[in-house]
Amino acid sequence: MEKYREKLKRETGLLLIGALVLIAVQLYVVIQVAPAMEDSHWYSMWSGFIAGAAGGVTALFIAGIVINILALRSETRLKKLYAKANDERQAKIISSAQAAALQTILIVGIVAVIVAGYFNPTVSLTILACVFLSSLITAGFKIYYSRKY
Amino acid sequence: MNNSIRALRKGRKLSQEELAEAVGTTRQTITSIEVGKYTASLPLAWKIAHYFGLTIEEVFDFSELEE
Repeated sequence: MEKYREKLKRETGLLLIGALVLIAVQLYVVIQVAPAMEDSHWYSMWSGFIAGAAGGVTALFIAGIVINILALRSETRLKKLYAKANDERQAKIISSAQAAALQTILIVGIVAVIVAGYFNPTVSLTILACVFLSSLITAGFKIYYSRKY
Repeated sequence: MNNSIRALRKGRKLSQEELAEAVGTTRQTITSIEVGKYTASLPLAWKIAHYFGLTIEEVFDFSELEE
């Protein structure tokens, strides 16, 4: 449990740094960059999707910091958080979902390569490159974990 | 895999949450194990059996493996 406590402290520190960096970047863009580009496409994009996404991620970081600090102050909460973070059933669910998702993405990707090939060779080749890269990375990790276990 | 965890737990008037906390897992995992949807790993199966003062074979039914 002491190791987990130390890990949580490190994680909280990283989340704090991440949140501060994100807030600083958002403030910089809002105060310095956006007004200079007021009539441009970039400004309208920033005031919409990017601002929302950056704000959402910052809120998640802050929520993570609060959860971690509360857990570090209470042994009961720390044990619950540890159990949740190391739950074997959850790990199996994530592992199975990722494996199934990867297979599906590769199959859908190959179909997309064929369909796109009739309309735009550049798009078709790009998708093919992505599918090939995913297969190569998957094969690499399979070899690594075959040797590890 | 069939098991007698629910019966053992109710015999001691324990909630799933309390058992989960005692063996270091989540309530959802205990639920899944009890209904046979999820098979516990060896360390978790040992912790559960040890908590009830029994052996793994007394808590979990391995007869389907012998067929």
